[in-house]
Amino acid sequence: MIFTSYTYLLFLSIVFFLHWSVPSGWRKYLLIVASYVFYCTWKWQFGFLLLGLSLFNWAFGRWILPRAISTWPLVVGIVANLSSLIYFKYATFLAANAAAALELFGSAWKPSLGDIVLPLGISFFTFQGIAYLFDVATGEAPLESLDDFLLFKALWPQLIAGPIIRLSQIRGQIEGSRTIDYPDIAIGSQRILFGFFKKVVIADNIAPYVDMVFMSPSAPNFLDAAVGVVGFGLQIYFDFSAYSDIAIGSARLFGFVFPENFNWPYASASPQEFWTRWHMTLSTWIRDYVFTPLSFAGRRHPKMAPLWLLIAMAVCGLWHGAQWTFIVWGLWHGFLLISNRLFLRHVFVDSEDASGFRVRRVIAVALTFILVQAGWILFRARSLAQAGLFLTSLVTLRGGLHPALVRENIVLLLSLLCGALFTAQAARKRLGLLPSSSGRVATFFAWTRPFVYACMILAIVVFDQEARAFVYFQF
Amino acid sequence: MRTLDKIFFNRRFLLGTPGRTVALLIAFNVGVSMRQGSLADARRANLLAPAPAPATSIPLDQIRYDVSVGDSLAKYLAAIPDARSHRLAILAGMSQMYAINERVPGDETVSEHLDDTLRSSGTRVFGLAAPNLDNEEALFLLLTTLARPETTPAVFIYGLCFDKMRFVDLRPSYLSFLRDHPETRAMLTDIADHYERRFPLASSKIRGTVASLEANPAESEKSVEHLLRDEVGRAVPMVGARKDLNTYLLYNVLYAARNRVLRISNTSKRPMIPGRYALNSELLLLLSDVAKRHNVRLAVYVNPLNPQAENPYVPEEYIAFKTWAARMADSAGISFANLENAVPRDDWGLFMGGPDFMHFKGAGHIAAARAIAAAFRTDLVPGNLASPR
Repeated sequence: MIFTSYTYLLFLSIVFFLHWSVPSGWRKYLLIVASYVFYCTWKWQFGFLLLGLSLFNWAFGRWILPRAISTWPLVVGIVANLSSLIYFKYATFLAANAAAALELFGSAWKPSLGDIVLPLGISFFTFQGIAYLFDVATGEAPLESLDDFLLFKALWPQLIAGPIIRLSQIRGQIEGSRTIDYPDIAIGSQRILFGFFKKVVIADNIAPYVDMVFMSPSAPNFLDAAVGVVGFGLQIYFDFSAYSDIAIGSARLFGFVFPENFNWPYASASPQEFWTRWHMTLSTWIRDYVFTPLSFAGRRHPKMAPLWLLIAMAVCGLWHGAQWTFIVWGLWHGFLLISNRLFLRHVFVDSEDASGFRVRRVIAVALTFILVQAGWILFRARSLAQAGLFLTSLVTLRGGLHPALVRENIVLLLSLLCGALFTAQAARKRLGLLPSSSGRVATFFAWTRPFVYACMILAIVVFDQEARAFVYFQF
Repeated sequence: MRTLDKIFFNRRFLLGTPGRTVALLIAFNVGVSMRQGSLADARRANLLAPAPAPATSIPLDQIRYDVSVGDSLAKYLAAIPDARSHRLAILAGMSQMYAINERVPGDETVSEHLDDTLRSSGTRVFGLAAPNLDNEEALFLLLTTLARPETTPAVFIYGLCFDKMRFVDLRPSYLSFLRDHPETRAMLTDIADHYERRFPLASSKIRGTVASLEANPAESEKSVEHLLRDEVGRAVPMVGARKDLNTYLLYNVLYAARNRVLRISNTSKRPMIPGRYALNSELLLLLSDVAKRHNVRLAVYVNPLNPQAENPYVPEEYIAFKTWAARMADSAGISFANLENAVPRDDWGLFMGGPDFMHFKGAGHIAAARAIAAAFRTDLVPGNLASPR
C-alpha cells in the first residue's frame, strides 16, 4: 500500500475513526493489527519476518541484555538482526564480489542464489532493532510489554521508510495514553497534504525525465547530465521528504509525535550542515551507533578519526543498497565531511556564524549544493562506469548546450523548480513567521490558506500518476 | 468518539481553515461538474481526436479503429476483425490517422476508408493510432496484436512521421495495459534479450520500460486502487474529470504560458535531439525485424504534409531523415513509400488560425487511404485492388 494511493487514504480514514471510537484499552491492539495489515498488503509472507524479528528483539532486550556482563550478548543480538538483512539485501552482492575475487585466483565458481525478493522496509526495521538492543545494553530500560514492543516495531507510518525512531523518542507515547486535539488534526492533515503535493505533483513528474537520462545506454551531453543529476537531486528530496511528511502527519493523527527527517537540506552551507538537515534520523543513527563506537574503540589513536568517519559514511552508503555506487557515494560524503573539517573550513560557513556574511553564505550554499549533486550521480548511476561517464560529460561540457536526450520542457521545469526552492529557502524564516503574525497579515493568511490548500488538492488530483512507488522503498 | 466530536463539531473546525477548504473544494467540484462537457471537448481538441463515437451507440464489432486513441486499448482490441477468418491489416500511427479537420457528418478516417475498400477482397483494416505515437509504442502495438492469433495481422502499416523521432516512452495507458498483460511484457523482455547486441539502445530502452513497471507494480485495472479511483471518480466530479482537467491545465494553461513567454508557435523549428533520434532509428529497425520474424509484412510510409503550411522541421534534418528511412526500408526489405505529397492542397484544414501542417479534412483521408492502398497494393491484397470511394 503506497502512501499516495487512494487505498491508503481509505485505510487511514478507517483506522483513524476506529481508533478514536473504540475504548482506549483497545487502541494499541487496533494499531498493531492495522500495521500488520498495512505491511502484509505488499507480501503477507514477510509479515512473519517482521513478527519474528520483533519477538526476538523483545525477548532479547527483556531477558538477555539486562543480565549481560559483557558486550558479547549485544554483538549476538546485532548479528541476529543483521543476518536477515545480509541474506535478503547483500547475499547476491557479497557472493558476486567473492566470485570476482576468486576468479583472480583462477576459480570458476559461479554463485547461484536465485532471485531474492527484498522485504519492504527491512533496512529501516533492522536498524531500529539494532538501535533498540544497543540502547537497552547501554542502560535504557527495555519495553516490558510485548504489545508495546510490537507497536514500537510495526507502527506503520515509520515501518517502510522511516523516520528511524528510537525507543527514547516514542516510549512515553507508546506506554502512556494518547489524545488528540484540533492542532494535531490540523498539523497532521497539513503534513499529509504537503507530502502528497511534493510526491505527486513534483517528484513523480520529474522522475520520467531523470529515468530517461540514466536509463539511456549512450553517453549524455553536458545538458542531459546536468538535467539528470539536478533532476534526481530534486526528485529524491521531494520524494523522500514527502514520505516523511506523510509518515509524520499520519502518526500525528493518532497522537504520535515523530522526529523530523528533513530541514531544508539544500539550504546547507557546508557538508557537515547538510547531514544535520538530510535524512536526520539516519545520520544521527550512523553517528551514534557506528561512528561514536568506532571513535570510542579507537580513542587512543585520535589521528585515525577521519578513517572512522569514512567507515561510518561507507556503512551509510552500503545501507542504501548492495552496490559499489552506494559505497562510493558514502565515501564521497565521508571525504566531504573530512575536507569540511580539515582543509575547507574557511570555504564553508558554520550555520551559527552566518549572520553578516550573506554573500559568503550564498557561495557556501551554492558550493555545498554542487558537491551534494555530484554525489547524487553515484547514488543514481547504474554503475561506477556510468557515473564516470556523467562526470566526464559535466566536466568537459560535452556537446555544449545541445542536449542529446532531453527536451527543452524539462530544462525549463527544473530551472523554475530550482528557482522556487531557493527562493523559498531564502525566505523560509520570514515565511515561518507570517502565519503567527497578528492583525491584517493574520486575516490575510486566514483567508488565503484555504485557497492554497484547495489548489494543492486540485493539483494532486489532476497531476496524479496513479501511486508511483517512493524512491526509498528500494532501500 | 467523544474525542472526534469535540474536534469536528466545533466552530474552529467548521468555520476555520478546514471548513473553508472543504467549501472551496465543493465549489471547484460544482464548477467542474458544470463544465464537464466543455472540458472533455477541450481535451479532445487538444489531443486532436475526432469526436469519438459513444461506445454505447455503435456496436463494438462495427468500430474500425481505436476510438479511445490509446486510452482504452484493451476494449478496442476486441473490435479487431478476427484475423483467423480475414487477412488483417493494422494501420498504426499518430493523430493524422484519426483527426479530421472541419469534420462533417459522413466523414471517415483513413483506416475506415481502407477497410471499406479492401473488405470485398478479403482484407480487413483496423486502425490503432494515438497522439504522437512513437516507435516504441508502434513496437508495443505490434506485439500486442501478435499476442493472440485472432489479432495477429498479415500486414502492419506504419505511418512514419518525423516527429516520432523526437518522442520516447510508452504513454501511461499503454503501460497500464502492459501491467495487465504479462504475455506482452514477456515478449518485450524476450526482444530486449534477443536484440541486446544488435540494437543496444533499443534493448536498453525496452528493458527500462519493463523495469519501470516492476518498480511500480501497483494498479492494474482490476486492482483495489483502480476500482477505488473509479468509484471516487463517479462521486466526485473533480476526480472523475481528472484526465480532462490535466489536459486542460497542461495545454491551455502551462504550455500556453510557456509558448507566450518563449514565443513558441506550432511552426517554430524543433531541432532533432540526437540521442532520441538514434534510439528511434534502432527501434524502427527492431520493429521491422520483429515483424519479419513473425511473418508480418511491414509497410512504412512517410506521412503526408501540408505544402501550404510551414512545418516545425529543420529542412536539412527532415531531408536526411527521409533519405535514411528509404535506405533503411530498402536494406531491411520492407515496403516503403513517401506519401508526403499524397493529399491535395484543398484537403487540409486550419489549426490555431493558420493552415494545419499535419491534419486534413475528410477528403484528405480519402486521398491518404488511396495513396496507401496504391503504395502497398501487393502487401494488402495479393491481386487487383479497387480504388477507395
